Amino acid sequence: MIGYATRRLLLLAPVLLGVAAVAFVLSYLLPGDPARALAGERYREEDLARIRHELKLDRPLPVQFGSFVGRLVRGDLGTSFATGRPVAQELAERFPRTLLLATASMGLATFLGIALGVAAARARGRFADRLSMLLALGGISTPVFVSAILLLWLFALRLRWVPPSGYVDLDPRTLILPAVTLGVRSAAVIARMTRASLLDVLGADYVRTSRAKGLREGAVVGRHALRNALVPVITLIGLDFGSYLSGSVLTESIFAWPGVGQYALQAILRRDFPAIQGTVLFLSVVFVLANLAVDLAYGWLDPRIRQRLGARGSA
Amino acid sequence: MRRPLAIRFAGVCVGVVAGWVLGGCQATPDRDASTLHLAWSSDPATLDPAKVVDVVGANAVSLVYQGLVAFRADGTIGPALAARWSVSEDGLRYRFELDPAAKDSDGNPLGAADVVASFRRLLAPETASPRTWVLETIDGADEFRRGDADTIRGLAPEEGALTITLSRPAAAFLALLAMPNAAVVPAGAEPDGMIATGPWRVEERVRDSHLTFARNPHWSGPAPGVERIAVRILPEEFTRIAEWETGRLDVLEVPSSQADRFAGDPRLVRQVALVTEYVGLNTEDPVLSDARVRRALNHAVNVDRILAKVLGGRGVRAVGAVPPTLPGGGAGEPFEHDVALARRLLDEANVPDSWELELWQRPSPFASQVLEAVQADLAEAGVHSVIRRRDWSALKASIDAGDTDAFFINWYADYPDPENFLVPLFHSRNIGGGGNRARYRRADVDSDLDRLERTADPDARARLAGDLDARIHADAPWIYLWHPVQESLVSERVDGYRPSAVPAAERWLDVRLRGDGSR
Repeated sequence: MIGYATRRLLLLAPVLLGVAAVAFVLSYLLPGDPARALAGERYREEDLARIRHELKLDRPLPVQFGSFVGRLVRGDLGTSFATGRPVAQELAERFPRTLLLATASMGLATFLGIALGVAAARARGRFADRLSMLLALGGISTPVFVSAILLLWLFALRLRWVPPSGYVDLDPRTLILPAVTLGVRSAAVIARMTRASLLDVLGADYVRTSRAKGLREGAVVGRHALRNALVPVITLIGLDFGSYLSGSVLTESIFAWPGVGQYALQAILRRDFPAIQGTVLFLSVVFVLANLAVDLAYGWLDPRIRQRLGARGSA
Repeated sequence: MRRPLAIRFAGVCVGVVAGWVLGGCQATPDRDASTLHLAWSSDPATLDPAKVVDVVGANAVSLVYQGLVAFRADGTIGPALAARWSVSEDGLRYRFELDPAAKDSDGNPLGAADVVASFRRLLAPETASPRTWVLETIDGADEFRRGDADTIRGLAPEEGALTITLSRPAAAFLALLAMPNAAVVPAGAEPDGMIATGPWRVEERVRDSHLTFARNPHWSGPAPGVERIAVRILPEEFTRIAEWETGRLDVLEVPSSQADRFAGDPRLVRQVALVTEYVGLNTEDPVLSDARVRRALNHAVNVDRILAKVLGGRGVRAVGAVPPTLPGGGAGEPFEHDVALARRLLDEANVPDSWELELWQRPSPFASQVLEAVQADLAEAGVHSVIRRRDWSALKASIDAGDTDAFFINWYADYPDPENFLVPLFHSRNIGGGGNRARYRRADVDSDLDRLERTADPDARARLAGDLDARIHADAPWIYLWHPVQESLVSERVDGYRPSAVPAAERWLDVRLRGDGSR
């Protein structure tokens, strides 16, 4: 297992080099000009040339790429054109907020999704099953900007239970609406997947054996069936968690949540190349690590996978 | 009976969530009478006067830094670091006597050396400021900016005073000195607003979330009426409105798309903004270089109808670039909406039937509504047009490079003077990034614009500006649209609010809050 994880981490280096190259090229393919974005509405051509020079944008592209990679090797993500601050520092300030939002959303989604999925599977074909799946279908079909605005209108404007937006340290009330907005969709997908997977497992021989031994239905489902049924669900959770950690631009923007998503959007709009490249790289690492965590979770859930991963790791 | 772990965990989760919700039942904040709550649509990228170029950033800089002089709420110029000043008869020498009580927010005295350090910083090549034009008329500024001189010849600091010599007369020089870019940062301090020279200092900043400004305890001007200004960064209109509706903001700038929702609200404050919105026409384009074609487009577009339908009448029709509230503004003759005349002018100019006009815009619902209406009007006059949408950075790059036929943009005044509209927008030395995006070039106009820059007498200046604006308008380098009316909602607990004439110069000095914190 440790060998497998180490090998995956070592593979991160070539992945990051590829991502760095793509991020660099994509930044330059974007129409627009970072120097003009900094220069505003009225500037002199000499000043524009001076800005380009100071930002080193007047150097040939291969030279710029070389110094970009050189910086990366030293662990330096560069300095934002727009703010003049180190990109690493800007990401370090924002990532904990995105992590908090992602964790809250996925926690909610996992709890709700699995609970709904189990309830639906156990009540297969009955009213509770249909109602659960109808709710799940609603969750999947509702775009984030619609659910965000509906939740904001209902809970902040009408009922006034929570503030409409914002991020305040140690005030969890500001977390509720963005976390629910993000979590609802994942919960719906998890519920459907849990139901389908659990129904498969509930028909397996070992489940029948458990029942024949006289175990209560709750224990059969909770201790034996659910654990195996969760393997595909964990994949879903991992993918969604990885994407939430990459920042959720719409949700962060609507709820004024100052996370990585908003930062990435501003970087793109301002053509802030170091910020774009640094953010893409950072998020790639996060995404790869999130997937690694999912792979390791398979092993925890299923001993057969653990043995396979162990064998591959030591090979 | 021992409950399964999952059920106990679920119970705890539900309890925590319920606690949050119940704790949040009173979502309207308890607001003391000492903090003014505002919202900005974006976080200022920088508070450095030498680098700031956008309205939000300039607004923030105006709070924390001040220059030798400052804009008053009505747009006139008043003392700031300089207590008084005099100008030589030839208009070349300005002597500023500094306020002896002026201190930064750490209590250190501010003197001529701080002013010189800030001006040097703005002009220094290594700063790479895009706003060197603000101080370009100071004698020796150009040599210093190019790195050919170590000092700025025109700056003569002395104990308690600073004399500035210009290389040519510049009637708007005081207005330029009042701009945020000419604000003074204490020598050696980081330009981040923590050590301030203006009425406020940055007390707390969480990027993309909020800024809190506290009174500068050492500011020598009249003390502001509130202790703090708390500014939330709210990028979405809907969120800003929700924050207003729940009583968490004291002032809300009403987005044009939401103007109807608040029409008739007694808390509404309106003023014609020093902003001009227009469809620029690329006068270097082979077809658009013919003034008859440009006039035809102006006659084809029914501006009054668009103003009524799209803006709900919240704007003043533009008959020139200069807003009517400025000297010389509103002097042009409006182009009557006359489709037959438009068609005749196009025929006279032999515009080919295959001609297609590209209308460029940034992707905003408001811009789309305007350009779709313009497009429909042009079609009636037989002009086929297509709309191209690009994000602001890409759009600006294309416009500045002269790659666009026609483009819907606006111009915000940096200072309240007709020169700030006419010179950047129409002088040939400003073609492209300088502001003249229509790439308009006429030698007689250039020469009169140069004269306008030198003319100090207010009456002569107004006459010349009015004449120039009307002449350029008749030549139609743009499809002239309107000067929008800016609307703000001001909560009932706010007293003494008067919108600033200069968009970026709001300093909230006269505002007081009524005691109980309710709206």
